[in-house]
Amino acid sequence: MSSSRTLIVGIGSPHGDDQAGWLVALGLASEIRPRDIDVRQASSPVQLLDWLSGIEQLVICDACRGLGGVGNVRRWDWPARELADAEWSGTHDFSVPAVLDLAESLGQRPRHVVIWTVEGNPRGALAPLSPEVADAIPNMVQWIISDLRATTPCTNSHS
Amino acid sequence: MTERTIKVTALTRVEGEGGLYIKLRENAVEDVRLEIYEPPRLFEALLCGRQLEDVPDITARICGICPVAYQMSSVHALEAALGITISPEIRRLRRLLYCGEWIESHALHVYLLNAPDFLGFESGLEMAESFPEAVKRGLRMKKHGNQLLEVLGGRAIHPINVAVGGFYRAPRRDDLQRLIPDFEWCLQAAVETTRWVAGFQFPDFSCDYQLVSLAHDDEYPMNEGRVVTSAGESIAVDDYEEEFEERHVEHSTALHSLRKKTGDTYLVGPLARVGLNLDQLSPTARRLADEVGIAWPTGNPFHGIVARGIELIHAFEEALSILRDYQPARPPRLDYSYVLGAGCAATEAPRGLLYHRYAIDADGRVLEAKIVPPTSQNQPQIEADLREWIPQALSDDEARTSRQCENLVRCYDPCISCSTHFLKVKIDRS
Repeated sequence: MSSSRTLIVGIGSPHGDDQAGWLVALGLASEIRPRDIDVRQASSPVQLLDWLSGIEQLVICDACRGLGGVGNVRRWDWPARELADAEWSGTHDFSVPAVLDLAESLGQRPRHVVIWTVEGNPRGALAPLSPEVADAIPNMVQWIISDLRATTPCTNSHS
Repeated sequence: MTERTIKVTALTRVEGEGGLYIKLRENAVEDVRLEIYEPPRLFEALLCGRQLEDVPDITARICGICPVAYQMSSVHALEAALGITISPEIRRLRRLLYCGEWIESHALHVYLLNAPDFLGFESGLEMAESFPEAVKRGLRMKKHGNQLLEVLGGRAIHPINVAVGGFYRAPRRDDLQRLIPDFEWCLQAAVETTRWVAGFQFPDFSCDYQLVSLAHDDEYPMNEGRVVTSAGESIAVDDYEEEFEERHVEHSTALHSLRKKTGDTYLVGPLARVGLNLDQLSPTARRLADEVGIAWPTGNPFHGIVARGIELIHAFEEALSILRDYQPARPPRLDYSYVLGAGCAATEAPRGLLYHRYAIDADGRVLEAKIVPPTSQNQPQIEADLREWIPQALSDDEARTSRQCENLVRCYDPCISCSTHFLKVKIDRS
C-alpha cells in the first residue's frame, strides 16, 4: 500500500446506480485497514474540500454518465479533461472536476488524484442498482486495491 | 407588437434541476414560470406501510444538503402522534444538531453560491482565484459544521443517530467539547463574514412580503414554535393545513404552496426568520443585525445573504453555549408504545419552514405522510418577485437579463431536490 497519506472517497446517494460510489467505498473499507488510508462516503463532491488537509493521494469513486456502456469501469489520472464532458450529478454545480479545480485554486489539491468511474443508468428514488453496475462493483473494489498496491500506474480502462 | 422569450435552460448554483421561462410583450412581463422538471420522487408514498422507526432515515435521503431538517420534522411529528415529550437534554442536543446543519448549508451558500453574484464572478471557482482567503474561511466554517454533524449524527451525510424518542447514542462529552476551540474561531469568522457581505452593493429592490416562520417565546426558532406571519398572525402548527395549501401547477413537478384562504404567496427562510425573530437572536448576532444598517424586516430579497451571515453567528454562538454545558442525556432515547394516531410538526430547515404530518396505526406502521418543503412554499413567491424584478433587470443583452434573473433566484437558495427538485432560464420575446 501507499506509504503516503491516502484518502478514498466514494461519492453517491441512496438512489439507483448513484449508490455505486458508496458501495465501492464500503467494499474498500472492509478490505483495507492501514492507518494511512482513510475511506469515506460523500453525498456531494464539495464535501471533499473538508478532508484534503495533509492528503497526498486522493482516490475518488463515483457513478457517471456519458463515458461508455452501463457498468463500464474506468480509471483516470487527474487532470483528465475528458471527464469534464461526462454528466456529473454533483449538487449546486459542484461536480468532481469543479471541486478539484477549486481545490487547485486554493492550493489544497493532493499531489496524486485518481478517479474511478462506473457508468450508471438514472433510476428512481431508493431504486436498486442496475444488474450491470451491481456486477461491476466487486471488480472495481479489487482493481482499486491492486492499483493502490502497485507502484506503477495502471492501465487507463477496464470494461 | 413585440414579443420576447427569455429561457434560462439551466440555472446554475442551485440544488436540483429546473429552468426559468419568461415571456415579454412590449417589454411588459406576460408570463414567468419557474419550471421544475425533475421527476417527483414520491417519498410520501414510499413511507406508507413502513415502520415509523424507518421514517427519519428515509426522509433524510430526500436531501443531501439538509437531511437533519427532514429528520427533525419527522421525529417531532411522530413523537406528537405517539404522545412522547422529549427531555430537555435531548431537546438541546437536537438544537445542536440543527446548528450544525445551518452552519454547513449557510456557509456553502454565502461563499460559493451567492457571493459570486455580488462580486461579478461566474462561479465560486472563479471567485476563489481572486478571494482565496475568503473562500477558505467559508469552507473552514462549513467543515466544522459538518464535524458537528459527524459527532452527533454518526456521519456528516445522512446522519443515522436520530431516533424517534431521542438519539440512538448520546455523544461523549469529550468528543463534543473537543470542537469548542474551532467553534470559537468560527464565531469570529461568522462575524467577519456578516460584515463582509453587508458591504456588498445591493440592488434597490423591495417586495411587499408576507413573511412566515416559526416563533418561540424563549429561543430563536429551530425545532418548535408557533407559525407566525408579518401580518401579525400566530398559528398553531396543528392548524397549518387550515392556513396553507399546496396546489398543482402545469409547469412544475413541484407543488406550489399558497395561503389557503387568500391564495397569497408568502416567503419562508432566513429573511423571514430574522425579520420575525430579531429579539431572539444570540447577543452577537443581534448586535450585528443592528450594525449592518438594514432595517429588519427587510423586503429586499438580496439581503438574504446578510440574514444567512447573521444566522451563522447565531448558530455558532448557540452551539458554543450547548457544547460548553453539555452532559450526555440519560437515557438518550425515551421508550414508547405504539398507538393509533396522527401528529404533525414544523421545524426551520436552513431554507425555511418544513412541515411534516404522519398518521400511524396501532402496530407502528405509517398510514399516511405529508411533507411540505421550504422551496415548495417559496416557489410562487420567487415567480411573483421575478415579475417585479424583470422590468429592472431587462436589457437588450439576453445573457445579461438571464444572469440578473438567476442572481435573484439564487438569493432564495432554492433546493429543487427537496421540492421534487435545478434551474435552466428561457426568455420569450417572440
